[in-house]
Amino acid sequence: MKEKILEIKNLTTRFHMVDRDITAVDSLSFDLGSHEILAIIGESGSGKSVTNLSIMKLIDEPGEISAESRILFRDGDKYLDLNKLSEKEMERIRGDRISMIFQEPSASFNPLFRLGSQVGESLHLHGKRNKEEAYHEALKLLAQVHIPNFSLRAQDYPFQMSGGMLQRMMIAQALACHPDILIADEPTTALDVTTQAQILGLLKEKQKETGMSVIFITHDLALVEDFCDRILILYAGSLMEEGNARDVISNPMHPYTRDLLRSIPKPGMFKDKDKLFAIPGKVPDPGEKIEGCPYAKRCTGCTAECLAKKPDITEKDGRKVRCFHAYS
Amino acid sequence: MLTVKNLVKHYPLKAGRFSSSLEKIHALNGVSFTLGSRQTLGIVGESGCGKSTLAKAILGIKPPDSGQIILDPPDTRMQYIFQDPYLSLNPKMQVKDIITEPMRAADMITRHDVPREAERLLELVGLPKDWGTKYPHEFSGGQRQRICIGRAISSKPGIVICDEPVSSLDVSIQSQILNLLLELQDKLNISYIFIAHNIAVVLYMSDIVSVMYAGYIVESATPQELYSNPMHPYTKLLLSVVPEIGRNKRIFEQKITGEVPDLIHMEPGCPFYGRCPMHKDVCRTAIPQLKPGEKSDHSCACWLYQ
Repeated sequence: MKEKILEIKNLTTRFHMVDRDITAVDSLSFDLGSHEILAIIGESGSGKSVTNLSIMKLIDEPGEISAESRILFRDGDKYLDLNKLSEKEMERIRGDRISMIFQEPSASFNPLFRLGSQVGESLHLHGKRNKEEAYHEALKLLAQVHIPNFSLRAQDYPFQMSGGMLQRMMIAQALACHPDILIADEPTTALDVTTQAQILGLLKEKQKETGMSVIFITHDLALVEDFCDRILILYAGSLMEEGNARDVISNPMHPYTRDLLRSIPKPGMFKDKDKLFAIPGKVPDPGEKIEGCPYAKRCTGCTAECLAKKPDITEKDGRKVRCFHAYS
Repeated sequence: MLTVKNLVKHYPLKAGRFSSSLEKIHALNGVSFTLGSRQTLGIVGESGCGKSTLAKAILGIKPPDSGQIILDPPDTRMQYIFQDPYLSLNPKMQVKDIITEPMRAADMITRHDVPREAERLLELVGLPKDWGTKYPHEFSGGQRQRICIGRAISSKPGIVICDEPVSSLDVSIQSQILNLLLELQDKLNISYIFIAHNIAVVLYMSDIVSVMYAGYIVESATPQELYSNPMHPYTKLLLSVVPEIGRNKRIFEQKITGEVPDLIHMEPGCPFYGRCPMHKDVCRTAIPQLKPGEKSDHSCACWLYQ
């Protein structure tokens, strides 16, 4: 792998509820290379969003990032441990060095302010431009994300825009300070497929132009194969499999990955001739006590060992997998 | 079983205090189709194409402005499965009452029969039969959708309209629900109108697929035919941007131009004109009709073929 921009070591995030503790992310370790697009795949409760909120240190009470978690972010030639930074120091990183875009663009803008001022806001907040300069910079950014009539649209309020246009605006906002890392949390899930293709194209274009690294969170395995460089597969807060995107998709090692791939209908599959594989059971509830492998109860290859003990991660040829009976 | 002719539904916009404008959203602009018994009609399209309005117009939830809906036999029951099982179950009702409510509404059973019927239905949709006394919050999303399906089939409907039945569920749960719908269709001889934005899911589930755009059906064919010989440029676009594992489609490199049409101020021509890479002069001035092409079971509304 190329130079690392971010190293996550043993990230554990818990939520202390009244009656129980919920471990949303369970000692997760991974790296993000510079210029890399990394996909984090998971279903609800897999911990994919909490992982990224943890990186941004946006975990509030009753949540807690454990003290032994390391979130090492490269700053020049040394690494900063974000987990040890104060809130004041984190504020300087958020929106400047690491920025985020979210699933629902209409819920992420303030409905009471014009879009132009919101897009340039981070430049002003981080002290790089005064308000007027920030607005001019915002216009340039809107042009860069291909918004037609951008100087007029900058005067609009969020409710006047379509979902796709708003998502472009949010990307412009996130890119304002030239971040090293962009975290995109299900950025296309709320969009139509044609708009999704446009937004993915825009993200790819900007990533190539700026050389930033991207963490792309999604539940949709089909999206990431040729869009991302590497994939992490999470299930119930644990890493199940990691590897080069194409390798993982074409040659999954974990039963969960393989089952997911088999259960997604592909165009060209018809009910008369193709049987759709259905994974039995359901995703574990948050806080559910799991002794062995989190996927054991739904896995067709489950053995007594899988139910008794959680397998460790094994690593071979740049692939990681957490399974006693991994396919090779 | 169901014939729909020239269905039109326009939603009036609330006029401002000082304006007398009578603007309206052209949600459905003349939709016709037929649905046979035990058949699944798939309807695919993007947000705003009128697919949910169509479903609601057929059921009379949003009565159409004009057009005909003919049921054969006329007393055929219709039921609905909604997208979000978290919003479509009454949190204060026990599951046994939820799942048998349509039967009681139709006077098929009395209160006394509820536990027995609930057990039968729960088993039919793959849930433990003694869960009838639980409340919706005790169930996961997939289990809730099973309850919704149980409720929909309880009154022995001839037609069930499924409006995005899996799009709010986890990926690993979706195929369970799709398989359950197919299994129940086999057992109970139901016809489905299956509405979704995901063309892969619609192709898989349906016997006939209609593609909707801006309140029109723009193409209609068997799923096999639609997949291998798409005619309408919009269908081709949809197929080119649907993510597909193992095909290396690079959907992020697809060139997509133009904007979705304004449903309030509709232009006179083909609604896809503004985004169509193949458009001709006639496309801007006149709306193409849905007509069979070379094959009689493959219709398309596009000037390229007329």
